[in-house]
Amino acid sequence: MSTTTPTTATPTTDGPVEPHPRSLAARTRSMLSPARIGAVYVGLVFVVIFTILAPDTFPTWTTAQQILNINAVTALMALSVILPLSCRVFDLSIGFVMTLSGVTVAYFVQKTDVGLIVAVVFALLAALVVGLINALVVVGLRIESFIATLATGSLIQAFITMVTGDTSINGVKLVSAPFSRISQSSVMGFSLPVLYVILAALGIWFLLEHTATGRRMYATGFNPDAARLQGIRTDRLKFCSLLVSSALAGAAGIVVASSIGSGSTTAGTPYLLTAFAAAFLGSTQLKFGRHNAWGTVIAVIVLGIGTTGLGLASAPQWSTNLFTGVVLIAALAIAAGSVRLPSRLRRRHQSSPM
Amino acid sequence: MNGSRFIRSLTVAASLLLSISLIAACGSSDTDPGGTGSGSSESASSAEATTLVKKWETRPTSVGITEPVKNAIAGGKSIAYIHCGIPACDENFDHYQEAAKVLGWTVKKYQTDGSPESAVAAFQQVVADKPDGVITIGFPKSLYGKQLKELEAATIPVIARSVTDAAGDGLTLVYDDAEAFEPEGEILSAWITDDSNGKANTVYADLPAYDILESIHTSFERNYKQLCASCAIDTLDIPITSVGKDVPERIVAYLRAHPDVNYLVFAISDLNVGVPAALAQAGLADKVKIIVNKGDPQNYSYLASGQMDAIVGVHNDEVDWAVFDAFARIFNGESIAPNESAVFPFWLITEDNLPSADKTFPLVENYQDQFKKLWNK
Repeated sequence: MSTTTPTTATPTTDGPVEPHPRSLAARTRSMLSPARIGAVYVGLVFVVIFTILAPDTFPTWTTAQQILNINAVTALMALSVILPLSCRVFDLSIGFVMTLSGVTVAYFVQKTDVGLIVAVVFALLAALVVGLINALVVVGLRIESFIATLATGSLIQAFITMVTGDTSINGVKLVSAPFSRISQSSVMGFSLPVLYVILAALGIWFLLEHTATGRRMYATGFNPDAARLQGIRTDRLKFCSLLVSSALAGAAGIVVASSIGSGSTTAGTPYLLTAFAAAFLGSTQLKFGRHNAWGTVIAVIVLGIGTTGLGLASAPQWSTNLFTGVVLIAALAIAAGSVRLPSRLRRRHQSSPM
Repeated sequence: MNGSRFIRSLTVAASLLLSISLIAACGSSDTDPGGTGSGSSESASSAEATTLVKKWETRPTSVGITEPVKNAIAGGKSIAYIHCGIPACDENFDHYQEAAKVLGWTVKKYQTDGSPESAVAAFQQVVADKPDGVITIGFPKSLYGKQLKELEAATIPVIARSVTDAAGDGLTLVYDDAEAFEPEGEILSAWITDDSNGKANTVYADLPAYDILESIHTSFERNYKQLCASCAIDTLDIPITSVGKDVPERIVAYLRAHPDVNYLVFAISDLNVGVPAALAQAGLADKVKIIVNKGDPQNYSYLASGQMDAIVGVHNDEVDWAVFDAFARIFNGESIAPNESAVFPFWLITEDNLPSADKTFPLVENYQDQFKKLWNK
């Protein structure tokens, strides 16, 4: 019997070893899977539909600009709730924070001579104060965030009503430069708020995907007890996430005040549900089951495609709400309906016998 | 996730998508196309429109009531004001307090949130408190019919504003009923016809949720077709849920889908919030002119900065004081015929004649003095 001694392989003389084609194809299929980017496919379907329904107006660069410009504030608000949701914390006060910062910046711009930058700083500080209160109530007092932030939101609204007499703040300074430039300046047809969204999304993406803090936030959200036992400072993460969400909501409020030229006492309320809808829809995209920045942006864009397309197609006034509901269901269905909700809000199913 | 579950999900999603597409494609549009195109000049109607514009651009000088109260007005009366529930009605309360102070009366506000339940509760409280008079704004008579009967039985007069109800059955007087807003349609249509020289293509953005605005829409369409028969007109209904949210987006989408439209009318000023900025972003600001019904400080700011073009000023201050004028006559046992036949002022406001961009202002500058003179105060 002869034996052979294994010899080490020698590289070929044909150059570097090519990646296994099956592995590359598998990665590509995974990236393009409907489970990963189902909302994108929904959006593409609607692009096709509205191109047919409104061929002269929809498939244009102007429409793309319109979709992004009009939905920039919604995107900012949706991004504001990503970090708290990643830590399994709900911040339902964002609409009221948005209103508060809008009223604050409008007051200082119109009624005082402190200048634009100081007015903006005051508005952001007002938002941060609310964030601090939220954090103290949720983390310090251990009150469920869903209830706590609803309560602080109610307090904020009472404060706004008390200070403003429930009357919006108006004036020529609010509809003129430099204040109007915050939202109405544009680059290549895209308004500055679109840039703010990109910057915010980049920041949140980097934090969540490329830092240990982001990993810890996800860990806190997935299993706070285990995370805490692992030595993760879950309270600190939740605390900071509420500060960040208020700051972003405050920034959105300044943008809205600049856009409408007024410190409206009800500006933020309509954005609350849309922000959370986009955030949860976004959690089904790209990072299956995780709240993430770019998935949220995709969700906002898909929703925006529909509402803009329906408008250009002269659809009935009720169709917008119908569309929003249907696209949420469709996108979640395509993504297999996997949406991470806090355990208290998720029905516990008995696991099947192993 | 197994293959069959994926296919089921995909089927559900595709079905839903197909459904919404069919609904969107087949659903009737809210717009009612009218007119025959961009319009050609009609000199007679344009001249009439120009005359009307000149008339309405002049700041009014009379509050609409000229007959003085005959007898001395006793002080010490208490008036109940049922608040309509929206911030705009705070201004009315301010006016009532000013008028009451002149007469030596008091006004008590009964706050509501605008809902029918809160309105009924407020009326019930008023019945219990038995004031000398009651003011209500915006709530239909049918809502508080029971309480109205009780107030009538107690001989407590009730004056309503901005409702489509007629006086009677306990309702002593109605100000700003549907008929009172007729001139607004004339003003809106005259300005558009004159400004466009008879070449307008107009969209009227309406708020169907408020019945009282329907009369303005009807009046506008009638006058518009009379003054500019060949001008095009269309209607865009805005749902109440869009106010303060996506009205700018709806307007931009409509204008992009209808590029020939060059005039935009808002049934009420709240609909114009955020629209100028949205139009500017979409590159449409120079393609359409905006006129709104009933100004507010925000729209005055837009007007002063050139982001919109005209406002129909409505007699809010004057009518609020006229309410107290009516109460004074009622408490004196005098006829309220001067109030019933009063013609209250309107004003076509442009950038050239705008008195203030930062706050509300009366149409008649010395309206308070005029009423004090009527009351011999």
